[in-house]
Amino acid sequence: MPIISWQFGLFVVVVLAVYYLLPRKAQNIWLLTASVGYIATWNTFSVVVLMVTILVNYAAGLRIWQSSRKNPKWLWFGIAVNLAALFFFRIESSGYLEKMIRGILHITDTANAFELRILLPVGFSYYCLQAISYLVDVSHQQCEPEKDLAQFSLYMAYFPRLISGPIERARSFLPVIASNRIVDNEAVSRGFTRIIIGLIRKVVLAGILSGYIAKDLFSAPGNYSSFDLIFQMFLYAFWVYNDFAGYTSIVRGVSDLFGISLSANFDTPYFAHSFTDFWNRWHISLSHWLRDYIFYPFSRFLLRKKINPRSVLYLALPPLITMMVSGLWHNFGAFMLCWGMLHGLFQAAEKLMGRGKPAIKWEDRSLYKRLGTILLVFTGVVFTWVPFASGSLSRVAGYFRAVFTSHAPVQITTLYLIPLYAVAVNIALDWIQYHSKDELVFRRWPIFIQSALLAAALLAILVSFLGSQSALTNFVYQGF
Amino acid sequence: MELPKSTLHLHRKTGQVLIFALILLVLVVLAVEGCLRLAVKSGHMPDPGPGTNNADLNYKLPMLDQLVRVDGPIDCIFIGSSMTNDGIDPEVFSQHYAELSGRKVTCFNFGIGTLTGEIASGMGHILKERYHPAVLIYGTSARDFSKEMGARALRSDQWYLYMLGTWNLPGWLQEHSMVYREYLKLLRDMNPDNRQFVIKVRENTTPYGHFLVHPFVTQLEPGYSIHEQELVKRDFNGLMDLGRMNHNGIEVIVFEVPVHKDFLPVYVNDTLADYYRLFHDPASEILAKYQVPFINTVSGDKFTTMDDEWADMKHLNQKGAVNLSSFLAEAIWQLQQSGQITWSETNADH
Repeated sequence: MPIISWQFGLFVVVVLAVYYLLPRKAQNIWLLTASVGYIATWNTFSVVVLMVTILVNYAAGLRIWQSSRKNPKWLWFGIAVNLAALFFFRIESSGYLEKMIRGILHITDTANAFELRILLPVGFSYYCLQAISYLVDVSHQQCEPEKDLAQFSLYMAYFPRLISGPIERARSFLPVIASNRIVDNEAVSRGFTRIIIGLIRKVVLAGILSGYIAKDLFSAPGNYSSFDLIFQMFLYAFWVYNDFAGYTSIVRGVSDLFGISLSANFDTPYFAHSFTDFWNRWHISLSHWLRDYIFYPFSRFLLRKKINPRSVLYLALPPLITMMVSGLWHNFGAFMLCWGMLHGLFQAAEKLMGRGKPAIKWEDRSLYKRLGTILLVFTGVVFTWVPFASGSLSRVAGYFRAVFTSHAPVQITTLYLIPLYAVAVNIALDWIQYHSKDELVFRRWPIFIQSALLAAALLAILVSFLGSQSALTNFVYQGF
Repeated sequence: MELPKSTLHLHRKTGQVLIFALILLVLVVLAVEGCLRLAVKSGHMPDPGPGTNNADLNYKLPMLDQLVRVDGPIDCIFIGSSMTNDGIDPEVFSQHYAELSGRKVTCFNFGIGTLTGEIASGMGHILKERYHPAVLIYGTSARDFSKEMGARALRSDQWYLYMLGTWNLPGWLQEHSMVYREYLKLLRDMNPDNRQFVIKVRENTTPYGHFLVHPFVTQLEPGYSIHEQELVKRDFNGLMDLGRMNHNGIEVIVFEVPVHKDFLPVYVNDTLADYYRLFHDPASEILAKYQVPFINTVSGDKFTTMDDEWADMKHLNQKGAVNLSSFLAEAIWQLQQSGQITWSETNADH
């Protein structure tokens, strides 16, 4: 059941209606039941994997708490099981395992050979990271293990964030699950505002932009002029952002209606003034997870090895390793490793260039310098989207070869005014949020302006829904 | 800690913004809808058409509406693909028919690009319900039954489905909301290909729907042999459905749209036998079952053309359209004389 569907809307209404009538303890059971029911609408295999993951991590958490900190065998066991499963599903869903087995068994007749392909269980790569963070936090005694299996299950399976996050931390999310919830006017207003902003991003903006990105951009880049190739990557950057940020905003809004706050995942990322800043604004829950469980531990490891904190090794290696892991988490392939490596290299370069220079406050820089820096970072990010979007290194090479050698005529016409309007609306929306440092700033505006904006937003959403349903339900980050 | 009695704690101001927004939205949409309707009705703005995925249809429908508004009820409508669109001049047809019968009739050419047998039946129903013509004349060829013919995009078009009884919101809005029609037109106009197409159609289409094609070089186009094309059942089913419409509040006549004589050997693979076996005979059988007259132009020798009557191998030019339209007027008058059709007064008053 995709998030952008009337079935999901109806599902949320029914779950909410029953939820409001139940006492708190029963509310959690009801939410858990709804979450399992929701995942079952995708496939039963995903339900089985979720159940097994919950039980393994629940038991591991209790064991970790019981064993001494000096003997973290249960922690490593838990992490190993989660990572092994993630690695297996990643490698399997990418088709590598099938290829490997066919190679070992010398099977060349692909038509009549066995089918080994299993789909990645829905949301696995997200709740797997939640499980690891839970085990580490319990091991570091940053939170107690959850003894209530239903509450722990809800922490893992809570349906609004199940498919694609945000990735919640045990130390902050488990207390939310255990506490009483109040849904007042403030929560409802917050929730609906997030849902509307999310729909504008996902349905209207991403919906429009997706229609203008050629399906064969990477498979046949020679069909397009250099200008078209670059322009479409520019559109891709805004599409992937609105697609994911829109999804996150919708699920956060839905969760607000249950009285459960989910963490922010985006904070106007294309206004970032450095690559490090970009990762503090893009997929925040993942980048903070990577920072806390890979970047910091690895940096501390280097310090313990007496590596000079001003050395190239210390400044370059942790971001490089962290971003490469991030790439492999997204997809098991050389192209994603390349994507991660590029981000790692950009961050490392930033750190090395800033070494020994006095830090100038961002606000103290001139407007032109600030704009120039934002544009430079944005250009770099668009460049890194090429391997992310292409699907293979050979396609990346083909794309860049075509950028420099294509003789195809420029296809840009007045048709492209539509996605440019979408980009302009996106930048305006982001700028308002960035400038006010409040994603829900609209709620503070006069009621007439709020109503006019909401009316325009509802009209735009309705018209987009009428336009193309198929393009809306595809969600790029769901695949991860 | 004491549990709150209820999770939901809402006070009266809940949804104030939403209510204002909905009121504003309804008011603005209604105001714009009213203004647009007035502007279209008074002729200050052209009707943008229903915004389907068939550009010809979007143009022809408002044209026919306009014709009915100005000239009154329509007597007959020609339907078919671009071959009919280019090959029938309703004014010539009406004039010739009036000379023969002494009766003035108003006809409109509703030929639209890539119309297949299946869609012809759907369009037949839509046009019958909308305009109540006395006669529906379908110009067809084996190509209308070919799997390879056109995109068949209308099959999934929301307006088309809505008009045939499958309710859907976009289709309903396309039919009833001028605001939505204008919005779709705005999107279409963003596409320069579409803009150029509309300019070309506007400049070359008569008020009676005939697309005027001027003579140009005739070149043989290979690859259209009937053997290379798979004729599909659903198009024959469409023909059957059109047959069922006959004498059911409307009279249906079918004619073969001619192709150039040099193209015919390619079209039928050097022998007319297969043309008969694969297309003509099954079509004749279906039409005979429902007593629908089938006027031959390809297989018979009554209709002949000169080289300068062709725009290309499959499309007649303006001169050819005069020839074919006159021929059809005569053929239909003969059918009427022989009692095979009655062609009563228009159904518009019924």
